[in-house]
Order: sequence, then C-alpha cells, then structure tokens
Amino acid sequence: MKIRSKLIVILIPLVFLSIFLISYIGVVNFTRSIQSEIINELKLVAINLMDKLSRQMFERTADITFLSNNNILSNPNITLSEKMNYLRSMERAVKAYSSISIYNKSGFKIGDTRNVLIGDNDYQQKFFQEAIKGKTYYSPIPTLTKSLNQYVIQFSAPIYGKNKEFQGVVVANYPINKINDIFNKIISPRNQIDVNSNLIKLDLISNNGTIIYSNYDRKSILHTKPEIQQLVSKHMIQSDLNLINNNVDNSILNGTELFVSASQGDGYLDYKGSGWILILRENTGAVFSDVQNIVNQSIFASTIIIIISIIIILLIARNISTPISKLMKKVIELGKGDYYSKIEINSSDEIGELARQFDLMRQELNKVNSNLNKLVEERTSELKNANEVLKSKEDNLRKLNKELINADLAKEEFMSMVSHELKTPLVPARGYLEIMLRQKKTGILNDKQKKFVDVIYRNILKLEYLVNDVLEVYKLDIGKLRFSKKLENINDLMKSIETESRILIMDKKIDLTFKVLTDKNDYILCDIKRIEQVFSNLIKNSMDFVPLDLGKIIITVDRHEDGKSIKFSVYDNGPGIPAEEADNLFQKFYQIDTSETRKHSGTGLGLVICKGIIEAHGGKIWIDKEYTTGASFVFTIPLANGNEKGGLDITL
Amino acid sequence: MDIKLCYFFISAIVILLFCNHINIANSQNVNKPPLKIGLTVWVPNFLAFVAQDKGFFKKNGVDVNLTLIQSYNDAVNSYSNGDLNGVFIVYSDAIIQHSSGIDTKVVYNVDSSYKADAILGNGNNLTDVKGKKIGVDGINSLSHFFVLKSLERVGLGEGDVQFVNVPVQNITSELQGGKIFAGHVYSPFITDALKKGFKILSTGASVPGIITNVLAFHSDAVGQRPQDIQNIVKSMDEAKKDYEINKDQDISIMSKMSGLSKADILEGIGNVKLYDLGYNNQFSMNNHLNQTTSLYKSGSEIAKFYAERGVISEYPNISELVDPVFVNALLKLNNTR
Repeated sequence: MKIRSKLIVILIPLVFLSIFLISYIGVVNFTRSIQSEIINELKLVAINLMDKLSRQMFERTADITFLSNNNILSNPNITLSEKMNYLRSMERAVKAYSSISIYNKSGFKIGDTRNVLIGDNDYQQKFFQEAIKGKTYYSPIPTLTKSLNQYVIQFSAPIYGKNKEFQGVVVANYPINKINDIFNKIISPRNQIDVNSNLIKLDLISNNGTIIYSNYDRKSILHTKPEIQQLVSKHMIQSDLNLINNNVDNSILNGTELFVSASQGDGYLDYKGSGWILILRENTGAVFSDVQNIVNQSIFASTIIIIISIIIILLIARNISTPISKLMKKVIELGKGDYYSKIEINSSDEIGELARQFDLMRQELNKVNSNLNKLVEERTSELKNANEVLKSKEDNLRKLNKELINADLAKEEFMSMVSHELKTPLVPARGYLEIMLRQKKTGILNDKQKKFVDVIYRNILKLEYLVNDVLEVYKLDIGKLRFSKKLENINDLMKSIETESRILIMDKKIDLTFKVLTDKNDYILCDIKRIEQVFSNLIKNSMDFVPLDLGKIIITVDRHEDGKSIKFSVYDNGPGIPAEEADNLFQKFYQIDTSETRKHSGTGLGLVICKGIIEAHGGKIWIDKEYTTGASFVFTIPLANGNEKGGLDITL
Repeated sequence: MDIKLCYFFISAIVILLFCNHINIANSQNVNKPPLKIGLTVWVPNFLAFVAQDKGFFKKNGVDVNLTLIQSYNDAVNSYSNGDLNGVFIVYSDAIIQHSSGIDTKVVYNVDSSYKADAILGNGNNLTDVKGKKIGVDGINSLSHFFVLKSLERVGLGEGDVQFVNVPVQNITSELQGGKIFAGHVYSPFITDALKKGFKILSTGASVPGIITNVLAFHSDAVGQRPQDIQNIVKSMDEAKKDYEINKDQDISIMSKMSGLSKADILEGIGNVKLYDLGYNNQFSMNNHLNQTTSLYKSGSEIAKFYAERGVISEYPNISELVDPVFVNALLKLNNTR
C-alpha cells in the first residue's frame, strides 16, 4: 500500500469519526438544554400567568367587597338612578365589568348599569344564595348571563342597611374576555420561547375540568374536553399545589408535547382561588423543528467540514507522497544508470533534505562515472593504437616470412636442381672410370695412370655421396623422403645391422661391439633401410674419428628409461665432441673444424639426415654429453609392442 | 488528485454557500407569495373583485389572493389566526383585534354605513324611545355603541332607556311582539322591518364613521411589503372610480363573484357611502379632525367604550392602528401627475 493510500485510509475515517462524534454530542446536549430551557420557561410563564390571574381576581373581589361595604348602595336617600350612575362611573374607572346589577332582597333585579332585564328574578341563582349567606361570592366557572348573552364571572356580595339588615345583592359581571386578555399577553421572561405563536397550547381549566380559557380552541371554552381530562387524570395534577412555593415541577414529556401545569394554590390575599389549573403544552414537533433545523445546519456544516477535510487530507497525502514517489522514481532511474536527470523536489521538510542529499550523491556518482568513462576511453584508444602497430608489425613479419619462405624454397630448389644436375654427369663419369680401372677395354694402365684414375674415381664417388646426401636432406626438408615402415623385431633388426656394419669396417682395425639388451619380443615400427642408413652414418662418422689402430665402436640397444621407446647408442673412443658443439652438429653442413675431420671424408649432412629419419620415426637423436671418452650418439624409436604386424608405407 | 481539481471543489463549495445565502436574501423579493385577503359578505368589499377582474391588481404589480368568507366571525378568526394577511373588516373589530395583541394596520377606509344601519321602531323619532326598551345586537357591542351614540345625539343617555339583548334577525319579531319599542337593525333586515310598518328613527348617516368598513392588514405584512399594500389601496381606489363609470358592468362582476343578485349588490352599495383616496385623506385618516368621520376620533370613542365595559383591556394606540402612509403617498403621486 502506498503512503498516500495509507494516509487517506487512516485520516479520512478519523476525521469522519471525530466530526460525527463532536456533532452527535453537540446535538444531543443542545437538544437536552433546549428541552430543559423550554420546560423552565414554560414553568415560569405558567407561574407568572397564574399569579397575574389571581391578582386580577383579587382586585375584582376587592371591588365587590367595597361595593358591599360602602354606604352608597344601601343609602335610602340616594335614588336608584343616582346609584346606577355611580356604578357606571365606577365601571368606567375600573374598566373591568360588562355590567353591575343591583338586586333587592327578594331577588328581583332593580338596577343595571346596562339597563338590561330589569325586573328579572334571580333569587334561585347561586350568586344570590351565596350572597344571602353574607359571603362574597365568585363563580368558579364562568356563566352565561341572560341579560348580556355573554360568559362572565359573577362577583356578588350582600348589601346591608344601617341596622345590618339584608337589603339586597350587588353583582358585578366580569367578562371572560378579560381573562383572555391576561393570557393574550403572555410574557416570556427570558424570551426563550415565542409564547405568542401558536406553538403553545394554553388551557385554563376549572377543578371540574371545564375549560375556562383555551388559546387554541375557542370553541372548547366552558366545555369539558376528554383530552384535557385524560391529561389531568394521567398526571394527577394537584389543584392544591402551592403556587408561592413554586411547586410546579410537573413538567412531563407527554408524547410529542412538553407539558407544564400550574395551579392557583392559595390565590392572592383575600382571593382564595377558584381551583383553576393552567396547563401549558408546547408541541415538541414544533419546538424540535427548530432543533431539527439546527441539526440540519450542523449536518450541512459537518459535511462541508468533512469535504474540506478530505480535500486537505488528499492534498497533504499528495504533498507527502508525491516527493517520495518522485524520489523513488529517480532512485530507480539512478539504479538503472541514469546519472544525469536532476532530482528536483521543492520541499523544506525531511524528504526535501533527503532529495537534496540524494541529488548531491547523484552528482558525485555522475562525476566518478564520467571520469571512469573518460579513462576507459583513453585506454581503449591506446590499445587500439597499439593493436594497429602490432598489426602492421605482424604484416611486416608475415611479408618477411613469406619472402623468407620464398627465398628458402628458391634455395631448396636451387639445391635440388644443383644436386640433380650434379648427379647426372657423375653417373657416366663414374661408370667410365670403373671401366678404366677394370683395365679390360682400356688396356693396362701404368701405375701412375692407375693412381690418378683411382683418385679421380674416389673423388667422383665422394661427390656422388655428397650429391646423394644433399638430395636426401632436401627430400627430408620438403617431406618427400619415403619410408616403408614395418614392425621389426629389435633383435632381428640389430642382427641385420651388425652384418651391414661389419661389412662397412671390414678392412679397418676397429673393434665393433653390439650389445642388444632389449627383450626379444620388443618391436619397433620402422623402415629398416633407413635405420640401417642411420647406423651406417653414425658408424661411418665414428670410423672417421676413432684411432686408426685401436678404434673402438660400441653399439648398445636397450629400453629407454621411459619404457615407451628403444634407446640406440653408438659410442666410440674418438676425440669426442665439445659440449658447445653438440647441438650444432645436427645442422646442415656443420663439421667440427678439426684437422682430423678434414682428413676424413664427410659431407656434413649425415647427422642432419639421421635426425630427419629418427624424427620421422617419432624418436629423438642427441649427443650424450656425459660420455667424455669419445663421442656418443643416442637416438630413440618408440616401442611398438602390441601393435599389429604388417607393413605400413608412410610418406613423411 | 490534481491540485486544480481541489481548488475547483473548494471554490465550488464556497460559491454554493454564497449562492444559498443570496437566494435566501433574494427570495423575499423574487418569490413573493400572493397576499391573502379575506372578504366578508359586505357589498362594498366586492370592489376588490372588480379590481381583480379588471386587472387593477395585476396592472399595479401586486399578486392578491381574494377569499370570500360567508361567516363574518370566521373571517375575523382567520385573520387573527394569521391565515389571512389582510381582511375587509368593521373598524371596531379591527380595534378589538389590535388591542388583543394582533398588530394591525388600517390602510384604507372603504365605506361607511349610511342607510345600512338604522334604529327602527314605533314612534316617530328617536326621542320617543326614552324610558322604553330598545333592542341591540349584543350588550357592549358596536350595535350597543351605535345606539348609544345615536341616543346621545338626541340627548338621551344609557340610563334613559332599557337595553335588551336581541340578535338582529329577531328584532322585527320582538318589535312585533311588543317586547321592545325599538331596535338596531342593519341591512338586509331593514327592508323586512320597514315592510312590517316600523319606522326608521335614526340611521348610520347620523353618526358617520361609527359603523365603518376598512381594509386592514397584519403589521408585519405592511412592514415587509409596503409597495404591495400601496398597490392594493391604489387598485381599490381605481375599482371605486371604475364603479362610478361602469356601474352595470361592475355590478355584474360583483354579482358573479359573490353569488349575490345584482339587486342585492345595488342595494348594498346604495346603503353605504363609498370612499375614495381623497375622502380617506381628507377625513378618514385625518388625525386633526375632531369628528367621527375621522378614524382617529371614532376609533378613540369605540376603544373607550369597549375598555370601560371590559371588552378590551387596553386602550389601543389609534395612531399605530391607522396607517395613512399609503393613502397619502398615492394622493401625492396622483397630484404630481
């Protein structure tokens, strides 16, 4: 998971959760406080209203008591008309009554400020009956007066004469719209609730459940309402709750309504209360629609905050992750060998610092890399130059080699041609000389002639040898010398050679010894003629150097130390060969410059031919330098034991 | 996320929020609901139908929703409940509404009862009722006040007659039964009483401005939409003027809209005195005039009467109730043209 994704996955739920929690707690607390505020407010309103009502009722009680007690209405000297005018003027001053009536002791209405229904008898009416008893009376339930056709609260009091005799009753009709007016002007002490709106349902009920006033259902006035009855019985509103003691904590959340009631309690001063109860209800739906609005607003605000937070988180995540991604990309590029693209991250934080340091590193690497490249380039060009020089040198050498080879070939050709051309005249010359020496056809030669011819003959022979040797060497060099190799038993071979060798030294006083130490079953693959030639050459060579009388030649044949070849040795008791000359002896026309040698014949090619033959058999030839009492030539031929017998005709 | 996209989102939210506020601010001007006006079954009120039918309201750029309400009390209740923005109402009831806490503005005096209210009875003139019983439609009501004001003009007081509470429709029968000597009767019951041989002892014309009909609005409607109110007043004045020119046509409109016969319309209008802007300015809304043709004067007297008899608890401030601004402004406009 990328850093950005991690940040987003962690931060967004975190922000969501915290905003949700804050909003939730806020809304819950707000709702609760609103609720309790409203209840408290409703309580205060209820108490205030009831207090106001009680004071109003007290004033009316005071009015009727005053009318009962003063002497005007009972004074026989004052006419009824004057009494009525007095009452009218009082009405105007008090501004509270629809009318004030005077009844005589029999219950007949004798006077009325409105001059309505004079003469009617209300003796049986409760207000009259109560007044007769000497009490100040007020009706606890408004009554419909016949005279006014209005609902009024009747305040009645007896009128007594001078001698305290009962004269009649005074009745003041207090219209219920005056009560309405009290409730019309509800004052919200803390302005927390809109008491004049239709949200508050206000019911003033009497103790028997009759609705005296209702601000929302005027038609219910002076009727009972099951809804209100239920409310009263359900919550057992006590009519004797003490208003002064502020004992109106009947705030009950009744379903969807907040509900508060207040009773009249003890009334106010002389007014002892009519047992009325005030019920205030506020529809929670209406109240909480405001709350709902606020909740909606807070949800809206929260949503915006969340959106802004998400954007900020995305920005932060981007701010954090982009440089890292960029850096990572650059690192990957660097890993692939791109040292040139600059790492540019404009950030002042750790990542920015990291990027800067990394860029410094990149620059260093770049420097080192370019230095290395330069160095490699230099070396490469140097090598290239050297190579070119070598190549040209090699070309020269090749050219030179070619020239040399050509020269060599020319030389060989020359040699062969010369040998051949030399040999050709020699054969007839020798033949003729042999004829002369036989002295048959040419006649007898004198001694001198014979001696001279003999010299010529011997020199011709020598020349022929020389030419033959030269031809052989030439053939060896060009690989045209033919070998007819066969498996030969060493013993048989050596017997043959011994026979040949002894013929070679027949008249010479040379002790020739053969020591064949090999196994009788040892074979070698060889051209017997050529091996004989080798021995012939070596023996001839020894014969040339051994002392004339005490010459000694020893030929030994034995297994070589390596066990894989046969070692053939030819020793003599001649003067020996100086160590420094030993290697040169196998070169063409090389002879040790001694008087002894010159004395003897030799082409200087014998050893060269031997070497060629031996090497053509896979062996080696050398001079045994440890042998100091004479010369010792040693050569080896590979053992061919176990190889199939039969002839091989090999051309080297 | 592209940074430009982020900026776009943020600015979109900000703009949305601002738009929201602007909409709320503008909505009051742009999406005004029509002003709801209640009409009671009182013929002069039907001039409003003429104003509507002839497009005076529309011409003056005011959207009005007229509702004819058969029961007068229902109309008053609808007004006090706030279901109506305005109502054609008897002035005394406007005073009661206002003093009972429903802030009201009387913006136009439509008419006054001349022959629509009368005291009928036996005898030849009003002084004959002294010491007799007189029927009124409600003790301490406007009817009561009208009779008292009429009696006052002939030097009689409350103590000189006996009052009997008789609903207006029963006056004739009570007169016939001899239970009362005279009574307050108003249109359309006058015709019946006259037919029965009772005589008119006094009419509304004797106490002008006592029984008078006004156009009243809730104060908040007047405060929020003064131009609309002014245009309504203007339209009403135009309807009155139109009626003078196209009487038959307008009677047809009023008959059609109200369901009353043309004869009833004609009679209804004939019983009153229709007022125009000029009258309103000169009399009805003249604060300095010390006669009941001034709403200020009649209002004070009605209020005093109601207060003394416990009908209302507080004297209303008549200067707050009567709002001559629109009448004056329109008159000024008319004069400058």
